[in-house]
Amino acid sequence: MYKKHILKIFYSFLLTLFLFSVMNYLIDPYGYQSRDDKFVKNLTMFNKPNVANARIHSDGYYYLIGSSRMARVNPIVIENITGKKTHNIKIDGATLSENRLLASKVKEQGNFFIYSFDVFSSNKSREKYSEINTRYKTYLKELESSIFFNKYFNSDITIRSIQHAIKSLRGENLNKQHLEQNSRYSDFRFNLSLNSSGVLNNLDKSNFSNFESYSSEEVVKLAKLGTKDDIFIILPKYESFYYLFSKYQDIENKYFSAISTLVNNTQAQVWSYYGLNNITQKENNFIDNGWHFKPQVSNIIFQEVFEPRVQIENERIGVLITKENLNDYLSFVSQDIGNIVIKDN
Amino acid sequence: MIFSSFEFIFIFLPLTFCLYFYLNKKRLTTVATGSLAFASLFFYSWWNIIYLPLILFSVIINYAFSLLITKTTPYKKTLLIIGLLFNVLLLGYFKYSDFFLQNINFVLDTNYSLLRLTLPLAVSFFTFQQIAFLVDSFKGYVVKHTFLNYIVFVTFFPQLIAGPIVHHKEMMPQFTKKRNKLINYKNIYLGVFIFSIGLFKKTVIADTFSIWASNGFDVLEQLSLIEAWITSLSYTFQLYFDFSGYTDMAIGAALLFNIKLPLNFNSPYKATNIRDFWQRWHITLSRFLRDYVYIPIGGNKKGNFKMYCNLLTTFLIGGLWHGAGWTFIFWGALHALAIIFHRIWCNTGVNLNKIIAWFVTFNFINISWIFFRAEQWEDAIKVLKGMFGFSGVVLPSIFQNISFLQENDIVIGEVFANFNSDTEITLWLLIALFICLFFKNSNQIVSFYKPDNKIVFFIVSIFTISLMNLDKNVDFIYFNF
Repeated sequence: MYKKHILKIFYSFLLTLFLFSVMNYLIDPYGYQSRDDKFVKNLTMFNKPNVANARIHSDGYYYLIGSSRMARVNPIVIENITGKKTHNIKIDGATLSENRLLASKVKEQGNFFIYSFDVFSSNKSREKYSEINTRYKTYLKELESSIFFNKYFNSDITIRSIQHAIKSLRGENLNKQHLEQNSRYSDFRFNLSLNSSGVLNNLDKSNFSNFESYSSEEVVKLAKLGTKDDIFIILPKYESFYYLFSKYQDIENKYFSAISTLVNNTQAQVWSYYGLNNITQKENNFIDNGWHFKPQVSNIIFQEVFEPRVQIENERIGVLITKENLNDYLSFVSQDIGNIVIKDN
Repeated sequence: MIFSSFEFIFIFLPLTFCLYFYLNKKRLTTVATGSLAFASLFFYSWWNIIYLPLILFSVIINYAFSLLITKTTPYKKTLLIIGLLFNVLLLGYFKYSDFFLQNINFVLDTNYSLLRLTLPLAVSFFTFQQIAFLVDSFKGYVVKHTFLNYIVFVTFFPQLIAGPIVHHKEMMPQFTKKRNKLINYKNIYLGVFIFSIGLFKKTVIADTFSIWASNGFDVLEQLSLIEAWITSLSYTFQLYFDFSGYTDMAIGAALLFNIKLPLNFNSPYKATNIRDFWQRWHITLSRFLRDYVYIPIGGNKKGNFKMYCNLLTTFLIGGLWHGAGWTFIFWGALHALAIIFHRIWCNTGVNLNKIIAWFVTFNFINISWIFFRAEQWEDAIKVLKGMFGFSGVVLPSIFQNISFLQENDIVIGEVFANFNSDTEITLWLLIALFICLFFKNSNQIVSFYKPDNKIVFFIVSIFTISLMNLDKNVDFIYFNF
C-alpha cells in the first residue's frame, strides 16, 4: 500500500514539475527568451536578483543598468533601434557599487551595457544604510550562483505567468504602466524637491544626504569595464535639480569630477543629458516632481545615441563626451546652469 | 548544504539513500554504514571543509575517552573530567573566546584583539551530544560500540546541523538493528510526508516572516506601536516555523534510513505556562539540560532556594549555549525567573483561567524572543520601546474621528508604511497564530492520517509550493530614496 502511494507522490510531483515549468517556459513573463508580447511592467519594473541573474545568463547583447530612471526604458525600444537583444536589469535606487557589480557580470558573459551614470547613485554615503548593504550582499550572492535549477520553476515566475495569461485574456495593453506614466500631468514644485531630496542635509536618509563621492579608484574600476560598444549615459532630470546640485553640498563639482575620471579612463561612449537641453527644460517631460523622465522620452534619447544626427541651430540635444571636449563641455554646462531661473510654485 | 536546497533534495539525499540501501542489499552492511558516515562528513564539509578535521578530531578524542573510561576503573573520574574539559574548551574557544575577550577589554579597559573565528557549523550540537556520551560512559550506561557506529551517531547528517540533540541510547541500537538495513516503504512514505511539511514551514511560512522581522530589527531605526508588535510577532512565528520546520525535515530525512529521531517540538505556542512551554519547545535540549546540568548540580533535592539557584544556572547555561552574547544570557535569565515565578505561583494554589494563562505565557515568550533575536541591546530596546508606545503610536484612518486620540499625540496615518504591505502581514500573522493554536503538529498529522489520494495530493501540493519558494528572492522595495 505504501509503495503504491510513494509512486503516486513521485509521478504526481514529476507531472506537476513538468507542467509548471513548461507553462512558465512558454509564457516566459520576464522575457528571458524574447521581449516581444511581454508586459512592460515585467520587463522593467522589478528589482529581483534572480531575474537579473537569469537575464544576464540569457541571450542579451545590451543590458540596461541603472536606477529608477532606467525603469522608464523599455528594452524593446533599444531592440527596435539597434536590432540587438536587450534586457533591463536596473535596481531602483542603485548605488555605484551595485551597478558596477551588474556591469562586471555582464562583461563576464561577453555582453555590453548601457549604464546610467546617475548623480545620486554616486553618493557613497548611501552605502552606510543597512538596507542598501543587505541588498548589495543579496545581489552579490545571487549573481555568483550560476546554476539555474529553478529558472522556470519558482513561485514568483509562476505567479507572473498566471498574471500574464489572465491579463492577456482580458486584453490588457502590454505598455499599460508606461502609457499611464506618459499621460500623467507634470506638476513640479521646487520647494518639494528642495526639502525632500536631502540636498539641504535636513533628512536622516535620502538621496543626497551627506553627499560623498566615490573615490577615483572606484570610478576608474567602473570605467575600465567599458569597451567601445558599451555606453555610459547620464539620463536627464528636470532642470531645477541641476540648480540644486550647483547650490548645495558642492554636489555638481563632486559629480563632474567623477564624470572626468570616467571619461578619461574608459573606452566606452559617454553620453550626457545633464544641464539644460531640449529634454530637461520641458516640465512636461517629467513626472514624480521632475525626478523621473516619462517613458516616451527614452525613445528620443536612444534615437539620438544610436543614430546620431547633425545638431540644428539652437537645438540642445545629448552630447557625446570625449576626452577632447570634456573640460569645455563641463564648464559650459556649469555656466549654463547658473542661468536657471527658479519659478517657485 | 541545507535541507531546503535543490542540491540536498535532488542530488545528495537520493544518492545517499540509493547507495546505502544498495550496499545493504548486497550484504555489505559495514560498507553501507561507512557510506552513511562518509555522506554525513561530505554534507558537513559542503559548508566549509576547513572544519572537517575539527569534527573528526572531536569525534576521535571523545571515542577514545569513552573507551578509556569504560575500561579503566581507577582513573575513571579523572578521565571524565579531562574529556569534559576538552569538550568545554573546544566549544569555548570557537564560540565564546571573542565574547570573553570583549568583556575582559570592557571590564579591565584593555585592548586584546579579538580572534574573529568563524563558528564551526553544529559545534554546539555535536559537543553536547558527546558530553552526554562521556557522562553515560562514566556511569556505565554505554554498551560497547564500534567506532564506525559512533561516528555515524555523532555525524548522522539529518540531525548534525540543528538537532534534535540525540542520545546514544535511542540512536546506537537503531544503527545496528538488522531490519533497519532494509527498505521500509512505510518509513519512506512517512519520511517524505514529514519532510514536506517541514520544507513548507521553512520556505513558505518562516521565510515570509523573516522579511518583516529583519525589517523591524535590522533596518528601521524607530518603530511605532503596531510596527513593533508586527516585528516581534513576525520573529516569534519565524523562529518557530523555521526551527520546527528544520526539525521536521531532519526527522523526515532520517526516517528514509529507518532511523527515528526524537520529537523536538510539540506545539509549543499552545503552552499555558512557562513550564509547559519548555516541555514542548526544543524538547531534546530541555532533556539534555535537565539530565546533564540541572540534576547533576542538585536539581530540586536540596530545598527551594537551592532549586531556584539550580534553575537559574541551568537556564543561564541554556541561554549561553544558544549564542555568545549578553542578550542570550539575559534571555536565559528571563526564562529562569519565569520558571521560578511559576513554581512559586503553583504553590499558592491559585489557578488562572486557561485563556488568560495562554495569553500571559505567549506574550512573555514573544517579548523574551526579542532579546534572543536582537544583535545588540539597542535593537532589543528599540523594539520594546515601540511595543509599549514610547516611540509614538500610529493608528489607521478608521480612528480619525476619535478626537481623544489626537489630543494625546496619537497619529492617524499609514500604519504599515514601513512594511510595504498591510493586509498581507495581518493575514499571515492570523494564519500563523491559527496554525500554532488549532492545527495538529506534524507528528500528530502523520500518525493521524492514513495514506489515501487526498494525502497524496496534499503532500505533492505542499512539496511543490515549497520547492517553488526554495530560492525566494524578495522584490526590494524602493527605500524611500
